[in-house]
Amino acid sequence: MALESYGPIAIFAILALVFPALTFFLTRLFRPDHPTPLKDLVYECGELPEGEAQIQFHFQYYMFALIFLVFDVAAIFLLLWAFAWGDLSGSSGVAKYSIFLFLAIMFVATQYALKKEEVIHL
Amino acid sequence: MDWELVAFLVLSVLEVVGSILVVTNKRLVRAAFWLAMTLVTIGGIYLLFGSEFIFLIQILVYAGTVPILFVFGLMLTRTKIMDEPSTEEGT
Amino acid sequence: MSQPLVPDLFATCKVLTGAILWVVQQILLALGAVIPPLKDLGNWLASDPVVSAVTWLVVMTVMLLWAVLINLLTMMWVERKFYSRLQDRYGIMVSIWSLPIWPFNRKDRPTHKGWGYLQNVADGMKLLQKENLTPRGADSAMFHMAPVLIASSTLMIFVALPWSSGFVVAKPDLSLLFILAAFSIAPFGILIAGWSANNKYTLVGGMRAAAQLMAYEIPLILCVIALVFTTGSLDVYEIVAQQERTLVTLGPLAIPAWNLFGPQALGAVVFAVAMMAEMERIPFDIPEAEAELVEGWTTEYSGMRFGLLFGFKWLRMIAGAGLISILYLGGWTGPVFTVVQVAGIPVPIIPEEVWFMLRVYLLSVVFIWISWSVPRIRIDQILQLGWKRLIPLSLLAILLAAGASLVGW
Repeated sequence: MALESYGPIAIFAILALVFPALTFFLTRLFRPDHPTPLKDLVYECGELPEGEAQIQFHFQYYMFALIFLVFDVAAIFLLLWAFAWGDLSGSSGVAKYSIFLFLAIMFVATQYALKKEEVIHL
Repeated sequence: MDWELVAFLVLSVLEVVGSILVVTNKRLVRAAFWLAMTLVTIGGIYLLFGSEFIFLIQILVYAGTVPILFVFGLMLTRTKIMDEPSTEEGT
Repeated sequence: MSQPLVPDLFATCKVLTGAILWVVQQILLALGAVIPPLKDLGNWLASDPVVSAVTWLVVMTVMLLWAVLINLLTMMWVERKFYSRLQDRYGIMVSIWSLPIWPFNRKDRPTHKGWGYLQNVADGMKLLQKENLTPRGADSAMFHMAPVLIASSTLMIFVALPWSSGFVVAKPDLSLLFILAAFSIAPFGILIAGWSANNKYTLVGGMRAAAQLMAYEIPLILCVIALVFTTGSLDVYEIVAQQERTLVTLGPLAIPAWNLFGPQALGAVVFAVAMMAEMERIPFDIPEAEAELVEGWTTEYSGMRFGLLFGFKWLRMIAGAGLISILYLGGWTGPVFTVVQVAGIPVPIIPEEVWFMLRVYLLSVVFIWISWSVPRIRIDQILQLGWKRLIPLSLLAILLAAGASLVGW
């Protein structure tokens, strides 16, 4: 079964998590540690930082993430359809080509959503 | 040594702990991180059920999108909702 | 037709592990004459499960060292030298002639003519001993966790990305989807890194990076879907094996059936452009806009955290170029001219690893060339390019691939 090939992947995942953490810990041996108030200020090109750091962002970020979610789920369906392409009986064309109806509706809807994001305030 | 049982136990403990931390954490961005970890471990349990495809789709769609959506939604609000008042003094 | 230098990484590393464990076992057995329990420990070490476990660890360490130590340094050197030549200057030149030890410290050494390979090592050592500053008011746990998340998700790509038909750690059935999934965890880590630094400019950089990376993951997945029509499988071994047959023979030259020379040509171009944006290279550089946001979302990181985040951008470039060459350029296939026997080991001249690295480095040179010749485009231009141009083009690529598979091409 395919599960045997995931054993090394699990061990590699643990190694991949340990390797950067170990690197960061090992540098404690090498680096100095003298924090001063001036060094701890956030960097704003040399000036004193002004205002809150977590500003309010525009709604468009959320819109783009939602459209990404729609396309991602559609991509899953397309992936399964592409796998089954050879096996679908194309006698009446319903099985093979009904995905295009889904794609057409989704495309029109996402084009409308993207049209509303014409002016990008990002 | 039944490795599948060990893996299932480890993953489910991580998942249960992660989901409790998601709903009880007061700092919402940390809750988003625990949400990402919970979703990845749920995908791992799908892998133990034998469906590799669903595991990969879970990582691709869920763990790659939903926490980002969550954090983007947080950024739409004002600061005071995100953190406890005591952490704003710059601890 | 093409032969790997390392036909099976596990078997090769087993030889190495056997040697190491034999030495340890001899020491333990020798000490076991004095302390009896050590003899049992020595016998346990030679048993099969222990040898297997240690061999897997050695395999993973070899892959990590190969990717991170050797290839990353070489790729950074290639980039820095190449773009300096594009800018009509010599570029980095710290080589072994800069070492203060004999025999490199003679009075008349050629200090200004070095090849510059050791510059990246010197930069790494510099970053090792820099102080780690945590900005005031930053969310400390998230601030320290985000580089670990980004670095580990980038390293996970290399468990399933083969460098030849035998030089790979694991062979899952859906390795292509696994690599894409490992790419897709990175935007979340970048967002957390930008947010937790308590700096509005890193936050802007992180949000823009997440928006850009998400927008360009869809053309990647859609082009992979267009590829499934031609190959029928998501296993990288299948995909490369199908590109090994000859398409047409022009005189003495046999043109192989790469996926680029077929109905996937449009998919290849879209995949390459989307991969350039996923690697955050110029012209898609706005999250790390050097003249605008200093270092973008990595501004507040210092020392080795910055070093890992900075260096892993090149690691993603190696992975991206490797993915493009596997999917569209025939992977590691290439003719073997002769097989030379070196101490009983058959060494194919031009083995598969060399063909693969040739493709990866040539593709990277193309990416570097494009990067350092064009200016950076704005975030709204990036998003328009992704959503309004690349996604319709990749859907067209799917239509073309479906049509071609109907016709029987």
